[in-house]
Amino acid sequence: MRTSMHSLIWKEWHEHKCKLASIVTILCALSAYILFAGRDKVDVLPMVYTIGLCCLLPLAIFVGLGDAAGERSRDTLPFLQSLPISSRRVAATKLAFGLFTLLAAIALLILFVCAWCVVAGAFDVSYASSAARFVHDGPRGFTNNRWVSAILLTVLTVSSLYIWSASVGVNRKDEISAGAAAVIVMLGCWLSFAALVKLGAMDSEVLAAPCLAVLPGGAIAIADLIRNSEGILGLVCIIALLGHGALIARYVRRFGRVAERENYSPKEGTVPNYVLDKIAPPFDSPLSAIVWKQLRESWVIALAGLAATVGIVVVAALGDSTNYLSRPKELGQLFAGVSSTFGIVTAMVIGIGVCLYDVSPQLNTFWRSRPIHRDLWFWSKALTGLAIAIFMVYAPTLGALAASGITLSDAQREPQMFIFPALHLAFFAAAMSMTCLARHAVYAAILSIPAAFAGPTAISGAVMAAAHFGWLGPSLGDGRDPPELYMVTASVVGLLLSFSANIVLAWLAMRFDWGRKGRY
Amino acid sequence: MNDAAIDLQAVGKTFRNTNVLRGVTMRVARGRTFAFLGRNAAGKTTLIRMLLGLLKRDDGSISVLGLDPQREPLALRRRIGYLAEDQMMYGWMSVGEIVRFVAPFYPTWDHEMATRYVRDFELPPKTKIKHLSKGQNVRLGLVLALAHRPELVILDDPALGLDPIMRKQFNRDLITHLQGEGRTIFYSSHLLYEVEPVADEVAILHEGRIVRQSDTETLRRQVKQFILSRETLRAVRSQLHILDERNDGDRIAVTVEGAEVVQRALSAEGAEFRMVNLNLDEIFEAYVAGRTGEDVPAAKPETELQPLS
Amino acid sequence: MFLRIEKGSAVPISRQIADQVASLCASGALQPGERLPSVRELARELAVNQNTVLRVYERLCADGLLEMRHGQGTFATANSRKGQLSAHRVRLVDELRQIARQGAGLGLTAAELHELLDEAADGLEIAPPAVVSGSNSK
Repeated sequence: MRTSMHSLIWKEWHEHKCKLASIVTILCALSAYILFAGRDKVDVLPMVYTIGLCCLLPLAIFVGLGDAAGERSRDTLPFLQSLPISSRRVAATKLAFGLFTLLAAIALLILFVCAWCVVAGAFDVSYASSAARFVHDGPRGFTNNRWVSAILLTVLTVSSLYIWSASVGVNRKDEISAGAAAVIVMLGCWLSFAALVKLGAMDSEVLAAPCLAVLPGGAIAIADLIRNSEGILGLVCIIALLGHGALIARYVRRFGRVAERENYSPKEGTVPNYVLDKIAPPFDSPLSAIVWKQLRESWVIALAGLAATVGIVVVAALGDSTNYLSRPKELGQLFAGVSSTFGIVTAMVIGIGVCLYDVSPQLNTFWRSRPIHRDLWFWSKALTGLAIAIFMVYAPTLGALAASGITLSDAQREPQMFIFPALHLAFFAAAMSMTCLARHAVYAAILSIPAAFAGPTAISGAVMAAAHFGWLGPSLGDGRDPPELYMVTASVVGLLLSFSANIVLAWLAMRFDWGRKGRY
Repeated sequence: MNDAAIDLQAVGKTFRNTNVLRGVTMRVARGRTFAFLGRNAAGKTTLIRMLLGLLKRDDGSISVLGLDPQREPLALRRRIGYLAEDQMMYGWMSVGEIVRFVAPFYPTWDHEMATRYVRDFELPPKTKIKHLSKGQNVRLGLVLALAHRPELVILDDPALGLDPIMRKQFNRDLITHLQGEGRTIFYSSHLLYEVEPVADEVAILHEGRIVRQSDTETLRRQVKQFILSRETLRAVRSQLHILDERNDGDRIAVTVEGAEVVQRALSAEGAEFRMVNLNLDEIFEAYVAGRTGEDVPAAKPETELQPLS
Repeated sequence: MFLRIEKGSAVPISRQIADQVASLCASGALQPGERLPSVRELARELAVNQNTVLRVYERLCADGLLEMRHGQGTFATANSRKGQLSAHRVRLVDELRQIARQGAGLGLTAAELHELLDEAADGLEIAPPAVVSGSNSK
C-alpha cells in the first residue's frame, strides 16, 4: 500500500529528475569537449576539474533557489499545505532530493570522466601525464590522496552552497527574489569574515577554520588551513555540521509558513482621502513606456549583481591584502578577473529576469491582448537589458582597471581576455532565449549553458577538424592542433555567433509565442 | 453589413484533435450588449482570443469592426477594450503607474477620462496592484479597457470570483459607463441570472456550436415547457422542436422552441395541456443538457401518496 | 420609487418592472404628475439594461399609464387607476389559477377555495364594487 511518503518521494523525484538529467548532460558534454580538445595537453584533467567546479557552484545555488521558492512561484504551495502531511516532511524530502541531485550529478560526472579515460586508452590516448599533473598540483587538504581531496572539496562546497541558498531563500515569492536574498546574505557573510581577517581577528587558525567551515562554500579555503594543523579537523567537522544543521533546520521549519496577508487596500466605502492623489501624465511614446518598465523591473537584479561582484573582489583582496594593496595593478587585474568571471552569472541572471515575468502565463496574455507591437516590445526589452548588463559588469571593471593604471597595451598582451566580453554577450542572449522557451527560471539557467556554448563548440570543432585535415595550410595542418590564437579567435567568433543566434531565437519565440505552454 | 461590430461566418478551430469550435456563425450589431453563454470549456475563451487576434482560426472568416483580427491585430486592439477573467497585471506597478504605462499605446487615450474613472471607482493611485482587492482589480481592468474610448468592449467572464455585492456594482458600472455611451459590449459568462438583466441579445454556445441566438425577451417567449399526456405528445411530436423531455408518470414535460406555434397547434387539437414559463437558467439547461427521445429514462413506479383526509 | 427585480425568475424582467410600476400607479403610491426616475437612473439603480427600461417606459406610455415629456422626463398620468384592470386581469387570473391548482392538488373543492379567498380578503380594505363611471374622487 502506498503511503504518503511514497507519494511525496515520487513527486519530488519527478520534479528533480529533469534537473539532474540536464545538469549531468551539460557537465558531461562540457567535459567531453575539454577532454577531446585537450587530449594532448598535460593540464586537461585539472582543467576539467576547475571548469566542472565553476559550473557546479552556480548550479548548486540555482537548484537551492528552486527548492526554496519553486512551490510558491508556481502557486502550488496552498495545495501542498492542504494535504494531510506535515510541511516539515515535505521540506526534508525536498532538501534530500536537492542534495541528491547535486551529489548524483557529481558522481555521474566522475564516472563519465573515468569511463572516458578508460575508453580513450583503447584508442591509444593516454591521460596518465595529466593525471600525474593533477596529483601534483591538485587541491590538498583533508587527506593525502589528491583524488579524494578533490571529490570531498567539491562535495562539501556544493552542498554548503545548496544549503545556504535553500535556507536563505525559503518561502520567497519566486526564484529571482530568493536569489537576490541569498546572494546578499552569502556575500555579507564573506565580507564580514574578510573584514575580520583584515582586522587581524582571524590570525589564529583555531578561530579561522571553524568560521570558514560554516561560511557558504567555505570548504574551498579551508583545506590549506587544515593541512597545517591536524588537530582541528575534528573541531572543524563538528562546527560545520552544527552550522549547516542549523540552516537545514531553518529551512525545514520555515517551509510553507507563508502568511498571506489579506489585501491591504483601504476598505471600500471609507472616506477616500487618497483620491486627491494625482496620476502623473502618461508616457510620451510606447518606447519610453517599455524602457521605463524594463528598468524598473530589472534594477534590483542588476544592483544585486553589482553588489555581488564588488563583494567578491573585496573579499578576495582582503584575503591577501598585503599582496594586493601594494600592487594596484594586480588588484585591478584581480578585479577585472573576478568581475568578468562573475559577470557571466550576472549577465545570465539579467537575461532571465528581462524575459521571465512577461512570459508567465497570465502576464503573457495581458500584454499580448493590448495594441503593443511585438517587435518593439522585444527589442526595447533586449536592448535595455543588454545595456543594464553591460553597465553592471563593465562599469566597475573598467573603473577599477583605469584606477589601477592598466592600459590598453597591457590588455593586448593577453588575448584571452577578449573571450570575456563575448562570454557575457553569449550568456545574456542564451538566458533570454531559454527563458522564453522554458518559461521557468531554474531550467532556463541550466539550459543557457549549452545554448551559449553551442556556438564556440561548433566553430572550434570545425577549426580543429580543418586543421587536422590539413585545410588550414601546411604550417598548421597535418594532424596537429592549431595554435592557441586560432582557438581563441574561434571561440570568440563562436560566442558571438551564439549571441546572435540566441537573440534571434528569443525574438522569434516572443513574437510567435513559442515555448512551454500551460500553467507551469 | 458594415453595421455589425462583430461578424463571424462558419468559424472553426481544432486543438489537438478536439473540435473546439465548428461552424460558428454570429453577428453582433453595433451599440448592443451581447451576452455569450456557455458552460465552462465550451469554447468561449477560444472564441474571444480569436476575436482579438491571439489565436488563428482554422476555418471561416471573422470581421471585427470591419477588420480581420489575423491581418490587422494591432489596429483592431487599439479600438477594442478587453477585460479578462482574473486579469493579472504587473503587481509591482501602482495604479497610477499602470495607467501611465498603458496610455501611449492607444492613440485615442483620454487621460482625463482615465483619471476620472480612477476617482469614480475609488482606486488609490499610489497603491501597488498586488495590494488591491479583487473588486478593485476588476475595476482597474475596467479603467484600462475604457479610457481609450473603444467602440467595442470585450469582457471574458470578468465578474468571476467577485462577491455578490461587487458583482452588482460591476454590472452597474457596466450599464452606466458602457451602455450609457452607446458602446458595443460583448460579454461572455456562465452566470446567467447576472447576465440577463444587462444583455440585449444572448447566444448560447454548446459543444462548439451556437445553438441559439436571439434577444432575451424573444427567447423567453419562444422557449417554454408544455406538460402533456403521452398520447398528445405522440400525435404532435413531428411538429415540435423538442429540446428536453421529462417523464412525470403518464405525463411528459417537454421543453420546446417556437412555443406560440405549439400552443396554437395544441389548442387546435383540443388537447389538454399546461404551459409553463421558464427562467433563463432552465432555458439554458434545456439547450445544453436537454435529453430527448431515447435518452429519456423510463418512468419509475412512484410510491403512492396517501391523500390527506 | 421602490422596485424589486427578482433575478432568475420565470417572469421576464421587463414584465416585472412594468407590473410593479403599474401597481404603484394603481395603488396611488405614484401620484399622477409625479416624475419617475429617468431611464438611466432606473437602469443604474436596478442594474438592468437601459434598453429594457426604455421599452418598459415606452410600453407603459402606449398603455396610457405614463407620459414622456420631451426634455423633462417621464411622468405618471392621471388615468392610472381603473383603466388598467384589464392588463392586470390576465396576470391575476394566472396567479389565482396557480393557487387553485395547488388547492386542487390538496383536494379542496371549489367552494373551499372561495372560502379561502374570502378569508384572505377579510383583513384587507377592499372597496365594495363601485359603478365604473370615470369619476374618481381624488
